[in-house]
Amino acid sequence: MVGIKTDKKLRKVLNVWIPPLIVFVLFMLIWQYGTVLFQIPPYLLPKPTDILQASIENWENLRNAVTRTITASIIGFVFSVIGGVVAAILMASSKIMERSLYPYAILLQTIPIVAIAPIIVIWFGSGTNAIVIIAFTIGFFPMLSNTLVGLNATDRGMINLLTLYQASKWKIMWKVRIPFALPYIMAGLKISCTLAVVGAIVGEYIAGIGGGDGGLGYAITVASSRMETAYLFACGISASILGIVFFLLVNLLSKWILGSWHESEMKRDS
Amino acid sequence: MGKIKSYKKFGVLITALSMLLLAACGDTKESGGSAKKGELEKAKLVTNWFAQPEHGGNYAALKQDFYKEEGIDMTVEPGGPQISSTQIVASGKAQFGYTQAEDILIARDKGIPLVAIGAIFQKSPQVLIGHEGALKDFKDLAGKTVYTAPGSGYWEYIKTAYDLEVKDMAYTGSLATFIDDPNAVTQGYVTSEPYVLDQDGVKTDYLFIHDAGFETYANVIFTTEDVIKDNPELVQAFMNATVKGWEYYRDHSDEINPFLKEKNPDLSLELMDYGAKEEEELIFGGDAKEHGFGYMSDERWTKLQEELLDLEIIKNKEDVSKMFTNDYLGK
Repeated sequence: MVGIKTDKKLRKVLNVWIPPLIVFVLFMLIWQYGTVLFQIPPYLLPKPTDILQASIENWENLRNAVTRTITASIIGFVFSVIGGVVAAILMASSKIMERSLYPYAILLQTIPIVAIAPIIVIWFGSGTNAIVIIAFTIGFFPMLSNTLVGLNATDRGMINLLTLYQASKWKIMWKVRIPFALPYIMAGLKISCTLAVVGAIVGEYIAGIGGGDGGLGYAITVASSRMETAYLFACGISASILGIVFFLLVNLLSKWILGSWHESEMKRDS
Repeated sequence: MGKIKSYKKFGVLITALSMLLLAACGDTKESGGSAKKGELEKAKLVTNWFAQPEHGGNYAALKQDFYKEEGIDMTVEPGGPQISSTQIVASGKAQFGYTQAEDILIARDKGIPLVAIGAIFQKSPQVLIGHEGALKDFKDLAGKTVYTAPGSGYWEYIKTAYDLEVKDMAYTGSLATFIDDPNAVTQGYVTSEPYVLDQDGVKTDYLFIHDAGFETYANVIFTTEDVIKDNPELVQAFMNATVKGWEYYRDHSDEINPFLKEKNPDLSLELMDYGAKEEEELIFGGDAKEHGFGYMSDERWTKLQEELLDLEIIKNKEDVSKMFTNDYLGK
């Protein structure tokens, strides 16, 4: 019995992991030997092995840069989560508040980040402050709008019931509306977490600290100005890995919080 | 039978793809071929920034039809913050470009065969700008917050040479953060930033990076080994017109500047006038006084190479005579 069960599990794992793995290996092989075959110069398209070598050679720099970017994006992300949820609660609790503030939240979202980033730098100076604020700005709106939709989508019947029991507005918010909004908040988190990484890198691009303290955005600019294309690829790949890891972590959190009760994360019996 | 057919198809596909790729790479060779007599030959120059007095001579040659007289249908394409002239020229999308001498060394170190064919600035207009009284000597840089372009070789050199402890920041092109902070130092061009800051009521002191011992040639005109090999006539014709253009710009900048403004409306005529005056000595002074516009010396290329090797920005030592030539100047 147990054997069959593990066998089934194993097969499932194989089914899930093997096809993308084959694609990955094939892709790498074509990349590696294609560049050799067509004699594409490494400064235009480096081989995967060049990129690996560049990452090893610049390991110290790359690790520092990634650490910097992780720190900035996490701080920015946390701020956008707190800011977004608090703002959404305020807006959801009063119609006037929502009507008067929401247009500005949209305005903030529609201005491209690269356009306001220089202004943020002028206001808050170059360096960590500006980077965190840029990461915050870009992650804030998805948090806000998702949470707000969630808070407004609460079952009317539930609210009416609690009003009947003479529960206060805040009690309803805390006991019913926020728990009901959780799936929406989680959806917001998933969007914001990857955007925070983008924001941090854009911030470093524009307001980066130089020298050995720069993050990935700074490392990317240096690598490109020094024509270190392989290292440039290494930085880019690190950035995307960072985004993926963030997303997976938030996904895990979402599964853990919602898994026991919400449709979207419950395991279906197939 | 069916199988063989599909193999054939696959083969055709592969060849077609590789031909496409070759065609894309072969741009240089095509345009490098010598033009028929009487027909203008197309050529392109990519500068390192939007049109400004630092490119005045080339625009002068364009406006005065010097390129046309040499048989070239010339395009001058302005660069910008995210445009790499070295990559554009290396990939064959343009024949000529503007960049800094150290970038030629860096590119060659990475296997990109660029060759400098003339230096606009004998002394680089690149300066480090501090607030008035704060910057008398390079030693005064210690403890300052310094804004420089990421990866710039001169800044690595100065930090090492003067053993500086500084707060390093990425230069963004904005002067606002500099104005706000009395302890800040920013990079700039002597032909522009000190004037702009003065207009904003900010008094400044500045130091030429050249005087720190990093004697790079700023705004070097370059091409590739391929273009020189395949079409030396084009290089010669281009440089004839360029040299003539720069000499024209020296004497008639007020006539050319409105043309520059057409290409880059954000520039004020006053700023350009200031720039043209400031740059004259940097372009026509030094070695150019004796050897003429654009001259480059063996010693300075060698010294620059040594400095970059010491800083480990480049790894391979190479004969400098391969990376620059004065052959196309002043003929």
